[in-house]
Amino acid sequence: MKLIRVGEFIQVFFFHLILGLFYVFLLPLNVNAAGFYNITTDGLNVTGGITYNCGYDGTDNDCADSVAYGVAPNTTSAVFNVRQSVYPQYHTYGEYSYDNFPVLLYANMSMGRAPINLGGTMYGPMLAGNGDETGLADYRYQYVVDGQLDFVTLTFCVSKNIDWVIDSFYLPNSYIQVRMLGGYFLTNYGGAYTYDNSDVYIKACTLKVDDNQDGVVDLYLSGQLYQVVYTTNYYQFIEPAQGDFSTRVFMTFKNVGSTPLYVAFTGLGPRRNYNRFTSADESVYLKVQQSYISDIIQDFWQTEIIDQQELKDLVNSSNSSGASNSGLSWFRGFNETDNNGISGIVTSPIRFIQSFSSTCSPVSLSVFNNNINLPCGTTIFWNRNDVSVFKVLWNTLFGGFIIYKLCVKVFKIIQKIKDPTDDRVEVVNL
Amino acid sequence: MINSLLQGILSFIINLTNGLLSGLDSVINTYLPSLSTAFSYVNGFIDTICNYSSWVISYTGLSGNVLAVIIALNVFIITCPLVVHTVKLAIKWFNTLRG
Repeated sequence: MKLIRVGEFIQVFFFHLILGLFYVFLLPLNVNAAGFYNITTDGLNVTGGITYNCGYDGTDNDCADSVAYGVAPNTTSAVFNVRQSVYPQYHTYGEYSYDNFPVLLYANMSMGRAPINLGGTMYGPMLAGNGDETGLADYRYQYVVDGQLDFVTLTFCVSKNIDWVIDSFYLPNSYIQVRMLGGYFLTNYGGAYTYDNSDVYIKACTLKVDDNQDGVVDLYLSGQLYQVVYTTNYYQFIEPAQGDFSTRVFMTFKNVGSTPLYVAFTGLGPRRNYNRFTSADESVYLKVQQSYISDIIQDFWQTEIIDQQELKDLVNSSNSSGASNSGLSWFRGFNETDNNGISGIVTSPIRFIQSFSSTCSPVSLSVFNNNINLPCGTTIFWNRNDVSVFKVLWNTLFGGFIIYKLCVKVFKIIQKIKDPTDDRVEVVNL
Repeated sequence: MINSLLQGILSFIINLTNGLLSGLDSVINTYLPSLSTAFSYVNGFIDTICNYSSWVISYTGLSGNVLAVIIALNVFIITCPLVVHTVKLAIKWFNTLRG
C-alpha cells in the first residue's frame, strides 16, 4: 500500500488514458496503410485504362472459358459452394487497373465442385443438391476506387432462360454491412455482349468443362458427353461499391427442366462511373443509383423508427417486474470470465481478496502423465480431532495478530479521514 | 449474511470498474489485439493465483470467521477512504470554483 492524492491519481489515470488513446488511434493508421499497399498485385496489368487479366487456375487467360457448372435435370438446386482452399484449381480470378490505379486488386470467384451421386450415377463436375443444401456461390471482391460512386459487376451466362431457371437470388445481410445496400440483378443482356477494349471485355459465352484437368474440355452427364454448350443468355449482377469494398454473393440455381443446365461465370469487375457505361446501360445506372439512395434512406428511417418505438414502449410500460432482477444483476451477473483487459488487472487486488474462502478444494496436477492430488491443509491437519484445541489457539494468536494489524491500519485511516485537509487514499500496488 | 454482503460489495466495485473501463477495453481489443491478448494472459495468471488462494489459506488454519473479518477490513481499507476523499475533493473543487 502507498499513499497518493486523489487529484494526483486522477491526473495519472487521464494521462495514461490519453496516451493509450493516442497509440490506439495512430497505430491502426500505419497498419492500414501497410495493409493497403501490401495487398498482392501479382499479375496485375497497370498499363493504363481498365485492363483485365483473368484466368482459370493460371493456365487459361480467357475468362470466357470459365468453368461451367452443370446442374442435373429435375434437381432442386445446384450448389455453388465455397471451397476456396479445398479446390483451388477451380478458381477464376480477375485483377483490374485503371490509369495505373488498381481499382480491383483481387477478385476471386471460387466455386468448389465435388462428385455427387444422383440416382446411382456419379456426376463429376456437378453439385446438385437434394433440396436440403443451401446453394451459394461465393464472390469476394477486394475493390478499391477513388471515392466516386462505382459499381462492381458479375456477369454470367446460363444455358437456359434464367427467368424460369433461377430459383432464388438473395443477399443475406448478415455477412457485411454493405449487404444492406443490396445488389441488383439485371435481366438478360442477350445477344453478343462486348465492351470496347478499354473496359471489361467479355467474349461469347461458351460453357466448357475440363473435368479431368487434362486440357480437354469434356463434361459427362448421365453417360453422355457434352463438350461445349453455347448460349446467349447473359446476366449481370451489379452492386454499388465505394471505397475499399468487399462483397460476397450467394446464388442458388434450380433446374426444373429435363435437360441439364449449365452455368458459367464469365466476368467480374468494376464499373467506374457514369461515363464508363454505354448508352444501353444508362437506364440501368439510373435505376441502380436511385435504388441505392432509396435503400440508404429507407434503412436509416427504419432503424430510427424501431429505436423510437422501443424507447416509447419502454417509457409507457408500467411493467416493473424486471426491475428487481435488473438491479440485482450488478451483483449476480459477475463471474470470473468477465475479467478481461485493463479492468481485470485494475480489479485484481479486489478479486484476490474476494477469492479468500475457508472452503478448500484439493489441487490436482499432472506431472509426467501422473496425476498428483494435493490435499487441503484442513484435510491433512487442521480438521483432525487431536489438533482442535491447537486450532483454536492458533486462530486466536495468528488470526488475532493479523486482525490486530488490520485494525491498527483502519484506525490510522479513520484518523486521516477525519483530517479535512488530507485527501490521500490507500491504493493497492499491482 | 455478512459474507454475502461483503461479496456483494466487492462484486459491485468490480462491476463498476469493468463498466467504466469497458470502452477502453473494447478499443484495445479492436485496435490492439496483441495487447489485449497480453492482458488476457495477465488476467489468466491472476485468476490462476486466485483459484489456489483457498488451498493456500487452508494450510494457514484460519477459520471462516477470521477470514470474514480480514476480508471486511480490507474492503473497508480499499473502498471507504476513496469514497470519503472523493467527496472531499469534490467539495474542495466546489469551494474553489465558488471562490
